[in-house]
Amino acid sequence: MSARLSRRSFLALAGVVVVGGGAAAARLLGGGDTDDLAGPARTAAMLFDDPEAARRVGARWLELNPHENDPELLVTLLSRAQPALGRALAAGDVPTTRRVARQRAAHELGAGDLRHLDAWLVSATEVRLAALLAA
Amino acid sequence: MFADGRGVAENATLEADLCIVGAGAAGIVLALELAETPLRILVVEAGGLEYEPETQDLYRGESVGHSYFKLESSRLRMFGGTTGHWNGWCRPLDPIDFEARRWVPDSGWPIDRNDLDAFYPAAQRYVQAGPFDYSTPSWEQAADARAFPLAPGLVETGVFQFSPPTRFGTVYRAALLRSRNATVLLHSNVVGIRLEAGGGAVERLDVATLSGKRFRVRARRFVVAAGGIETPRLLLASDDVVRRGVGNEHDLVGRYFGDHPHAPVALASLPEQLTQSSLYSSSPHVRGTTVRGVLVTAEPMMRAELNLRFSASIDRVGDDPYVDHDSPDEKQTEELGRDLGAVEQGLAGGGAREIYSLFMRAEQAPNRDSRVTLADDVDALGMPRARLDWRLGELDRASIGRSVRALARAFGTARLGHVYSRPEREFDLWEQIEGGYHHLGTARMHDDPRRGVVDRDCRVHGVRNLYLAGSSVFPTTGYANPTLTIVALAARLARHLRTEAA
Repeated sequence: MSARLSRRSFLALAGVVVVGGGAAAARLLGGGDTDDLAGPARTAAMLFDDPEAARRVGARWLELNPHENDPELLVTLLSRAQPALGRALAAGDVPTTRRVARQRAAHELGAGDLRHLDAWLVSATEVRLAALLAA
Repeated sequence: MFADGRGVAENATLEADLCIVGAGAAGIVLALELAETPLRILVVEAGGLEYEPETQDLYRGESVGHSYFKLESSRLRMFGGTTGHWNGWCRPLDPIDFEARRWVPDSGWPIDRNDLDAFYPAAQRYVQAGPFDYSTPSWEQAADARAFPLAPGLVETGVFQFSPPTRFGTVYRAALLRSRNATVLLHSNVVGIRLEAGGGAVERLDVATLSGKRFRVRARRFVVAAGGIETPRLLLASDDVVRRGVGNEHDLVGRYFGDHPHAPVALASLPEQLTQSSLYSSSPHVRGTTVRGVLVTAEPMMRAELNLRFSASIDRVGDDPYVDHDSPDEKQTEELGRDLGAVEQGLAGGGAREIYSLFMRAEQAPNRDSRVTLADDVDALGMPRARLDWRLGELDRASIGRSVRALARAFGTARLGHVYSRPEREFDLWEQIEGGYHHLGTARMHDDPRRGVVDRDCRVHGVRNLYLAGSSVFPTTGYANPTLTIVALAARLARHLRTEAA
């Protein structure tokens, strides 16, 4: 699946109930201005023990790449890079999301597909996952 | 035994079979390796047994190129030489360091690693390090400290051993004092190498003391072991027979000055527990030495990307004195790195990340325009002072950048963490690069007199009784600190001289 997700499918994903996840993520997700995290963003938040740190990473990425400040676009880009990642995000499947994202990020970095976060060298997949928390 | 040049009769002529100029690591090892031979050895040392400001001032010079240490502070003019402020890092050159690499102009030695293998174990003993074993798995096992599990091909782990460090002037003073065939003549500055008419051999050395005494040394053979700046200075200043200086018919003496570029080249967000207990951080003391792992770009990556050798040590950010970690920019950078560490931990596990500083020690590409020449100013003995024009080139710059990216790729593949590349920051890392007090390459070794000052036996081309010892003969330098190889080369030269004398 390499096509960009439709607006409708993205909104449908936003209704997926996330099962499981760390206590820290639950705290973040329970916080006031993060209530609107849903769907893939909620799934992404469940990946991190410290989702606030991940959100800051994502926010910096979006500051440097404002054209990506769109959750739908971020999911599309993640799916395009690794379709299984898009499916796992859509399904709210945190373990699969983690495994696939880890593999994809390792592949990108190993292949020298390095992106700049200031001068930190990162993979697009990991920072876009983080950006889902900040978009 | 020891003697003092200030006590030699004015205009006297001293005689020896072998005269060694300079009692640093190379000169002392040469003398010790030739102990118990019939050779009468005279070691002519400019300094005394201790540091003396007036003598040290003879090392003052100019630096007109890339920022460099003051010439009088990056070396020591005294018995024991610059080992007096050596940090003790030991590692041999690797086989690739001897290769002529097509992407590194003027690279390669006329000898290979096999030619030094017989001498490195003795060098290990001279520097009081452990066994001649630089295998990473071997030290991982001995130290029960691991290297990072990096996939092969990009970055690997090299091991340094640490000398105590050996202060050659202290440790080997007694042995030379007892020597029956070697005399160390202190406070004796060689101010000229005088060639026979025609220039085919050295006839004598002219020597001066700061007390005003002048005398001469005649010998069958001479070895100049005065370091990578003083050796070319002396050769260039000795221009009465060969107009451009001794050994300089092809305008090579003083050229190709190199050092190992040092800089805090990157930050890394790495698993704290794994890193702290690793071979890079724990500095275990085992098998009679302290060892430390460094990250080294692997040969396949180097060959594929046409890079120079590159190594980086890992320090806790607070232990790295080279960067102001309290500056707002640096704090912000490190905070972002810690946040990235949290992302990494979430995706890959492996425990909490911490920020570490990666400190580079890299190879410098041979650069003909990087050189030591003579300044207009003269020292207290009338010798022109040295002028250093250290230059780094585009290959150095590009290789450093690519090597840091290789670290990022290797850490990323292993899901260890992220790298912050200072070469890719907005400001230029270039200005922060400094040397390591390693003065290399100014009288390089090559079989062809048009491409090297000395031949594979360290004999100056065209001068049958003059040899050079020390870092000046290195045509290429690898990333390893040079002292161990300087000592191994001195032991090898001693064997050659012993054989030749026999």
